[in-house]
Amino acid sequence: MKKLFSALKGPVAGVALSLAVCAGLLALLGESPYVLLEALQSTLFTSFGLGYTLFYATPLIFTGLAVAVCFHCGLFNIGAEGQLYVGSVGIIVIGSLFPNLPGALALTFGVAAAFLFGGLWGGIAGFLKAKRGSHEVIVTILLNFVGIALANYLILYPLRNQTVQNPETVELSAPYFLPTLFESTGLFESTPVNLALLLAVLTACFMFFFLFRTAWGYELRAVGASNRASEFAGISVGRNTLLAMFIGGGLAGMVGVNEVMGHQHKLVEGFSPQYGFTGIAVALLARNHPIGILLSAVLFGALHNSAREIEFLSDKVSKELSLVLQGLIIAFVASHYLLENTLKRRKKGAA
Amino acid sequence: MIELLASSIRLATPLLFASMGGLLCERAGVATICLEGVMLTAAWTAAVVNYYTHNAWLAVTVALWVGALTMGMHAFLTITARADQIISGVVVNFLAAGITPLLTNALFGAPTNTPSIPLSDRFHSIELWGLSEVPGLGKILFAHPPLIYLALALPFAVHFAVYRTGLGLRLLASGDGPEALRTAGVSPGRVRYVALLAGGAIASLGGTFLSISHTSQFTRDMTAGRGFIALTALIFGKWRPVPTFFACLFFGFADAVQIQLQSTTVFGIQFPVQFIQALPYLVTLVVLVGFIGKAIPPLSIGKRLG
Amino acid sequence: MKGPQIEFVHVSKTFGAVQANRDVSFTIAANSLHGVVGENGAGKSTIMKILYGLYTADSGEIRIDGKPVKLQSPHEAIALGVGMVHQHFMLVPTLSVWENIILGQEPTRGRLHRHTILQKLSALQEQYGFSLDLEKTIEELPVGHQQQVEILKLLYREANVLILDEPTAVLTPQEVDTLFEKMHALWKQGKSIVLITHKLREILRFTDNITVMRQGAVVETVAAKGLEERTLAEKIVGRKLATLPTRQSHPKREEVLQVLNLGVAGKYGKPALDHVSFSIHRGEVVGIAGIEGNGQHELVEVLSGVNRSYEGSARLLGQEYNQVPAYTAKQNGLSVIPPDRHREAVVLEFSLAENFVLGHHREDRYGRNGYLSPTKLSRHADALMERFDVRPRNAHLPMSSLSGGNQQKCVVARELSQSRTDFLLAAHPTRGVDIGAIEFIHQQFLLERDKGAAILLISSELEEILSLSDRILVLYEGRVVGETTPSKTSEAQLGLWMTGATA
Repeated sequence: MKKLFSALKGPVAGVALSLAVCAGLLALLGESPYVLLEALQSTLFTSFGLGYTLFYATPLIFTGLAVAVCFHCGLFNIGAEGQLYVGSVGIIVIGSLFPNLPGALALTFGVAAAFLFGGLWGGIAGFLKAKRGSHEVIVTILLNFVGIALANYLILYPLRNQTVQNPETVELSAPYFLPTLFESTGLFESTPVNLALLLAVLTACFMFFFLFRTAWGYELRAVGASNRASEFAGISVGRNTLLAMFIGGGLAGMVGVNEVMGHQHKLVEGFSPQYGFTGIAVALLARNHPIGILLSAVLFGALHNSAREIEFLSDKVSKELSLVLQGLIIAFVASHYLLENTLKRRKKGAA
Repeated sequence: MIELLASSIRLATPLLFASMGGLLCERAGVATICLEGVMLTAAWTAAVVNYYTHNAWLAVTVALWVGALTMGMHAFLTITARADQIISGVVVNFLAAGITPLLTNALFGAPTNTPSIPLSDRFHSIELWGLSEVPGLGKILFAHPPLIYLALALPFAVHFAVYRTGLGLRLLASGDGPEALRTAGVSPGRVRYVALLAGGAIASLGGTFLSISHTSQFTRDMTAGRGFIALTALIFGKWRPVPTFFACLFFGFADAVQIQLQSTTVFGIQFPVQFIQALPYLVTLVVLVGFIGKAIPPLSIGKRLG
Repeated sequence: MKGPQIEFVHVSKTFGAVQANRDVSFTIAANSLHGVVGENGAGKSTIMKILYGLYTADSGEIRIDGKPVKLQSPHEAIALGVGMVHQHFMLVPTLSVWENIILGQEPTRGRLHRHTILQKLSALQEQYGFSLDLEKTIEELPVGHQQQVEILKLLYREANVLILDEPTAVLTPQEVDTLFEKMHALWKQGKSIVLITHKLREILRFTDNITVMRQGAVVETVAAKGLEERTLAEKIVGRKLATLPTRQSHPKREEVLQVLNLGVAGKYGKPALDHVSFSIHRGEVVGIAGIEGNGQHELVEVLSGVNRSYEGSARLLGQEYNQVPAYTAKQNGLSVIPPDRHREAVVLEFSLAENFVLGHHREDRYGRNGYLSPTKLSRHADALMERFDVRPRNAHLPMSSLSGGNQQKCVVARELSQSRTDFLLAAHPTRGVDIGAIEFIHQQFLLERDKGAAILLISSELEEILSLSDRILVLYEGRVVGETTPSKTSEAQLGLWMTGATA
């Protein structure tokens, strides 16, 4: 219990401070800071608001895990944004190739396609890091631009739905549809939150098991903590680098399960409000712990939802507020050293 | 062809500013993936100041300070708060990407762009000593707005500062041996602060150029990854000013080709615009992966000070 | 100018839970040769770093020529004429000698006038009898010369007190002689020299007064004249010392390791290992002597399975190294104690329990089909910690929280507790380890040897090599330049070989 408390202390303080700074910013922009509280209240404590919050949290669980698994291997995956588009494309590709699969098989194929396509895209960065030593940060960033351009091209040309004006792909066939929570449980009426949430939670639990209870996870973390010690232990640095980026990319690709299979049933250009980048914040706030990511994804889902709400309510604030909040939260969490030291000095001074 | 080369130089200019700014930061031992954010805040500031005051040079000056302060935040997070350098860079990029449209929205009612600056208030091309009349070369090199001349001279100034002065020596020591510098009685933290503030100011010019010289307004995310391309140019140039200069010119050229391709057909084929737009990033990627041998970064980069 | 008199008065310093210095008081006389000895962790480096302004004392004061001084940074220490050469050199490897010397003293306005600076430095070299190439970068210099750059740096700053922290750890016996000659000359010119070391012979030979430290406190300050090495050692350890049993020679048995014409490419087109051949048999300890950087590193990488692209052949029990995955080799009787404990031997962020299975984590005894059972890990850890006396006995602590000696015990425990050890590669196994743990580790090695393991011992401590080895090979510039046995050689002889002199 004590351990849990001390683990949560830093992140909670960071979030609180960020919200405070953000309230100040709102005041500066001429908006009442209470708007933020109101929005948070409605996004967390109403059925409709919470439904949307969980809908946004679902992709963030995936991207948070995508960043975290790479972090555990000492890699910084800034490429989740590109990976999630490529993964989503994968679903549409498989969906159009095999439109008439029976239900369970279609769902399996869809999820597998999302994971594989995203994984391969992430794997490129892993491969280049392992074989050429190219820095994964720059490679994943550049691959974002390329991946998104690739997805946009596919959406606009080969996979395009010619019957509508919007840049979007053809629809998936019905076996690929993932039911919403409302359809399956009667909860969260008229919100898009769907069974992908369940998949995300199970994935997080599985990732915990994988990272901390298996020899593969052990090797991956060993490489992340010390390349040299891993080599001396007969653990291949290159193979684990590739594996981590593949899994990371695959997890990011699974964002498509929520968006394409669970919600839109097609791929729309630019659907992601930067889930991939928010995943960085999600992972850092959770200190890369898969179970912590569940909580942190819900928080960032709520923040994103709130920012949208605020944009809707106010003409002085746009939804980029959530970017600022994310930046602040990462900043406070990443500078825990400073915070802890200041607190210690205070205590010493008082004593 | 002449237009293509002149356009290459124009497109290389923001990369030059950003990579020279980045060079100071990284040689001091601080990984700087936040050039993007620095350029963004500077671009926004310059556009707004130029719009309201009708004074382009004032806009440059104010944006210079804002750029320095943005990088100053990176300095504070990495040096004083001892945050991870990459994470801190992400923070700065997030904040810059968020705050600029927020403020645009607050000032002008929409988050996407600031109003256009009238032509009369903007920088004009200066035709140096009539040299622009020289056939061919003249139009490529000598018919540009002032910031471009500055960008072209900058790498050589940086070269002198880094390799021929006492401060440069401290900069190199801060990056390659901060502990040695500390025992020699100089605080590497202080050297890094100075380097980052100066680097931020220089990189800011890249953003300023984009919003008030190259175009006439700030648009959301207008840097479009140039900070990262500049970083690759820096790696490609092995963290040395003059080779980096050529790397920037090369990437500028790739960008110019990309723009040209959008409006032409090659062998009768009109390439989809998405492919063409991805070209500069692909070229950067290929260069990064294929042509850069083992580039050895400054030895202490990415590490916290002891 | 004469080196001033320095007094430490009741100086104390704690780091977290560790009291590094406890009420330290002693005096370094003006223009003296003063030694400070003690085990690793006795607090000798800490007290000197306080004098040099790198640490500030929690209490007590330092007086220079009777005046209390406040030293907040090396800058102030340097201004008072106090300079220090650190055990790990504080040089910027990519910069040239002259740039390193003037660093921190250079004019910060305008350009650097290289020629004027070079002239000034040449004059300095002449005055104190140095002859370094000022334009070479530090990377290009041998270690002994790098140390001279450190000393020149202090002389350039007009230091009158030179503190040398373990200066001979990386030097050959001949380089040690040169160093001491130079220091003696400086002393004659009026400087004070303070030598911090754990090597007793050196301190007895070189200094006049010796301050002995133990567990952060001063035991006493004694005159070096007439002092016996054994007496001094017992003052340092605080108890009587046991002597290692001498061994009888064993008959040769099965060949375990066979290295034939081994070659590894190095920097600048020069081979790092060049046609190295030797073999080790069961029950035999072979020591490798050599100055660091003469191929030991590359040899370790090949014989631990890290470097798989070598020329020639290296076989363990008949199996060529690069034909077997490194992980598999570790299951087949290979045990390795890597040279760099923090970077290579342990994962500092992992718990002790996780570290105890590093390199064996896929074995069925820790869980089947890739599962790693936390209960099995901690049970395994508890057993090893008991057997090898690792403290504190808590398997869930991160490795980083242990002292150097206990970390090394964990490594030894892990490597010597596998189902079998046919070949033990031990590189610098006792570096940075206190005397108690050294005794323990050596005993474990001899035990393994008697059980039939072949052992390759790589160390920069000639004493260690001489006392444990059955045979000694000397590596110089990637080649084996000499082979001998401890009874037939001496430190001086080995030292000559280590510098490439032919016997």
